[in-house]
Amino acid sequence: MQLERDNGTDRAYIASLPSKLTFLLGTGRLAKGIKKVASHLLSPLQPMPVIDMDNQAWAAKNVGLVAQQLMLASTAYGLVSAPMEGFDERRLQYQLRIPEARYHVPLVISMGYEVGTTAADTLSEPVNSTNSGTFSSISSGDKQSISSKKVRFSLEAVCYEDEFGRHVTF
Amino acid sequence: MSVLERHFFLTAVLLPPEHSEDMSSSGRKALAEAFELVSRQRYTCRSFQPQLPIPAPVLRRIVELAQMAPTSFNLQPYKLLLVRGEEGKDKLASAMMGNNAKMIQEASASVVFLADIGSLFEAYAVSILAPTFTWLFLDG
Repeated sequence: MQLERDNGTDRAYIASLPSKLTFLLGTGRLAKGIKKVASHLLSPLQPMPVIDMDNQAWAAKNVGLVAQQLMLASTAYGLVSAPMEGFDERRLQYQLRIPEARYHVPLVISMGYEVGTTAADTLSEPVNSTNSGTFSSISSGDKQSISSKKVRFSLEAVCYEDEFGRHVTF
Repeated sequence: MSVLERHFFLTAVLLPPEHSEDMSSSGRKALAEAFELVSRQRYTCRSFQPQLPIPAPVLRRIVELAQMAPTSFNLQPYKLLLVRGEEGKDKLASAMMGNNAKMIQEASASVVFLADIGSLFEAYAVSILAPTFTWLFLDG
């Protein structure tokens, strides 16, 4: 929220967030039932979300986008990767001290170099970053107020090392 | 992938934004070709060169680039758990099935993706509460 506001997101968009978010929020069977009926009835009049998804599926969907991005980024840097889902989630959550009530583990991705690679073949520094995600020509032409700069949490806020909550150092 | 190819698409992607507005057609072509390369180059590799760490600045950048992914309402409902150390690898491998345990041990780094189930509720609470507090504490 604060991130959005600081970066000049449209006020009306921010004001509409609570109602939009309640629709996604899948708590309570009764509330879900009501939403389901409302969504079905309004569907012929305007596009409505289908209320079938639970919070876990919603969160996993978002993680999928990040996962693919990570694999493509690692490919660009000459690495190879392997997404894996063959693991015991209970064991994993226990071993890495992950709060199991809040976090679901959809997948694990391993990254490394192809067999036979030596340190000389690897890039040791990242290329220059522009920290600008969108082409300015696209955002200025668009009628809607989209910010040309991407707003993201700091890496430290999102990434831990070796176990949940442990600060990552590079 | 040859070093030349790699250099080519890494430089092509990172044209500064002020140039991208009037990006030349060759620049646009380079960008598209770079994406072709990255997309087609990616494959799932089931064995890695052991004992070859990913340089820290590179690993950091890769995670930062992963963060560029879009998320619902930009809530970024995920946490990443980076496993690089021996101790961490042992713990993670003990939860993996079959050949996956070996892959964790060989890999330079593994990322455990955590989907934040509570994020939606938290965001809803904040979106309700934040305007109230703004109204209370800001005059004018």
